Amino acid sequence: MRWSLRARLIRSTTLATAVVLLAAGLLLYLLVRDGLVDQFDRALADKARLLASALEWEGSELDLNFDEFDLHEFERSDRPAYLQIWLADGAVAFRSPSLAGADLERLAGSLDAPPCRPVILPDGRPGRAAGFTMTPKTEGSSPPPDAAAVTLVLARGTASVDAVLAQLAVLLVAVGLVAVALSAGVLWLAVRRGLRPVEGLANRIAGLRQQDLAARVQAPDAPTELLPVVDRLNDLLERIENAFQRERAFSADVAHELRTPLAGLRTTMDVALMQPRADADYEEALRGCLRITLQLQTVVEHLLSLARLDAGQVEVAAEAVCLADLVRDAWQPLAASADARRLHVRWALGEEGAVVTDLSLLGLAVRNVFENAVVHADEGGSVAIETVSDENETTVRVTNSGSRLSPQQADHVFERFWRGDTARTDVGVHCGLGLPLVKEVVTVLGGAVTARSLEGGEFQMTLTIPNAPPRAASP
Amino acid sequence: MKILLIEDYEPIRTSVAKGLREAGYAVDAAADGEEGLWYARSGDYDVIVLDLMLPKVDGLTVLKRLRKHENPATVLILTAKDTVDDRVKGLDLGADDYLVKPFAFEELLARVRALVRRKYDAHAPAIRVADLEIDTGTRTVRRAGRTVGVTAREYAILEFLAARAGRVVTRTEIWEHVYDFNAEPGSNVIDVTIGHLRKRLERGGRPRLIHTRRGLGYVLGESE
Repeated sequence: MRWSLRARLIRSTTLATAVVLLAAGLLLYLLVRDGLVDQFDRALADKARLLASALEWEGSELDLNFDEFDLHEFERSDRPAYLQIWLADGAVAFRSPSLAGADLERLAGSLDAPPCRPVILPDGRPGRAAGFTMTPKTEGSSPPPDAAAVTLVLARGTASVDAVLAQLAVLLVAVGLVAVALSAGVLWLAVRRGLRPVEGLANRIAGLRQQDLAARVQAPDAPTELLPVVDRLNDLLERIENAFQRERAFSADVAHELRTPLAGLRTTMDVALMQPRADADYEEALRGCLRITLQLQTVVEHLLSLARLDAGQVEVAAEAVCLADLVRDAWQPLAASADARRLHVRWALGEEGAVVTDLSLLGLAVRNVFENAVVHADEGGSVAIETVSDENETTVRVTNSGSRLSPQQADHVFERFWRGDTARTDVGVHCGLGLPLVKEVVTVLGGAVTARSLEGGEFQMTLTIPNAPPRAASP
Repeated sequence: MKILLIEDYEPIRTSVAKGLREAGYAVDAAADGEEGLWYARSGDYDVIVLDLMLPKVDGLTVLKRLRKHENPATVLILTAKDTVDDRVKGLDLGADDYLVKPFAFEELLARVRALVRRKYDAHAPAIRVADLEIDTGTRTVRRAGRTVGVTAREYAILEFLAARAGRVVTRTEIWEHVYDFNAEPGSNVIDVTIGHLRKRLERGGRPRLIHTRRGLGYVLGESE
């Protein structure tokens, strides 16, 4: 069952209040009861002592001398008191009329502190009895018998005390119930008031529109306990907004990158078909279309590879790779462009280390790094290709001349669709997806890739992969 | 009518320029914003077809600078950016029309024709001068109800004169609006074309419509 914060607070606090009130009431009840019983006992003992003071030995005869006392309470038939006196030999010297021949329990204690205890009276009522053993004074000259001590027990019903206690109990329960109800009501108000900022916050959060990612939760009146929640929520909203913005920008870039070559294709064909032409004109148009189609293919393949890498759908093989072969194979398709641009290529292939990795993925990464160098090197400039292996990892370093990137700009080369200039210079050939793809691939292989702008307009990319595949190769 | 095309993507630049030339326009093409601005300042263009994502100087900046210098050309933005925001921004900065890539070349031609009409305050696609009738939509010329066959260059000059009917048009103006940077400058190229036009228009003994103002240029209209 789901409890609201308010119900939870009210429930627990009311429960606690009830327990405290119950304990307090119980304590009060016990104190009052003890006090009343004590008072009752004292009156009982006093009366017993008073009666005892009237006893006198006249020789061997025990004189009661009760005449001067009001003995009505021992004689009445309705809720009477009881008195019994024993001689030392156990013979009963006196029974109050109310006893009607029955016996009380013979309580023997000292005159100063007579024992009192609860008893069931002969007529079945609950009561208390006090009793003691004493020696009555002697009247006249004849001495008392040798065993002069007598035992006197007085018992009375406790109905009056019980009635007071019962009344007290009822009162306490009633007061307790009212107090609990009142406190619950006050709590309800206080909790409602206290939780108002929470409710306000909940309403504001519920009011956030899904489309409006720029919205933040404004809670100027939020209590300090809720500030971390509000802050974290706003942080989260900001991160989501940023992610969506990146996603939107990426989609816009993708749209642009696909639309532009499509527009090129369509326009080329549209214009070619506008009027009858010579065969050579058609051939030129067809060649143009082919070139654009190849560029489009590159963009689409890069996008697909990135999407697969993003989704973690790439199988990473682990096979022994000959690095020198891989590097030479990757260079093969670019050799012609490098020659055409009169690039001076310097090779420095280190000793072959044993690399176990995914041949085709690493090849894809290296080819893209080479392509970047060949495309961005200045005409007649240089490209340096270097490999180094140590016991743990293998490094491929590619440096090209003619870079116009600042060190700050070099950090951006791995961002999708980022270009040195804000606008495209040649769609497809370097569509701004090659190096981001390299980064994703190298990450999947458990390695790292860095880009640096060096002194003298040199741009250097360093690709490092472990010699053995990471244990969890595929995310 | 002369058009400046500023587009960095080579296949589109080449094809659009070719198509526009075949449609009878004089076309200059620039591959980046800087080059485009240089052309725009040194030539007198009727329409500028402008891409937005351009190297060096981006398209919106080019547009802002053109309008700041009160360049009289109408501007057609041709771009792959298709959001409402992009369109509104472009039009608010002073563009006259907006076409999203990929596009049908026929539509580009129709929009360019509309922009030319707008530039010369002609709302109808047909221009009438005396018994001469020029349909800029179909690029056909009729005189007294009979179709007159003209070449693309002749049509371009006739349309340019007709847009300014009754006013003197100098040879320099004709040169700047009808010929692009690639045309070979020659002293009598325009005179020769005008000669051909007169011959075609006066076939069947019709009166002369293109008059020479010696030392000034030409006027299209009924004889005074």
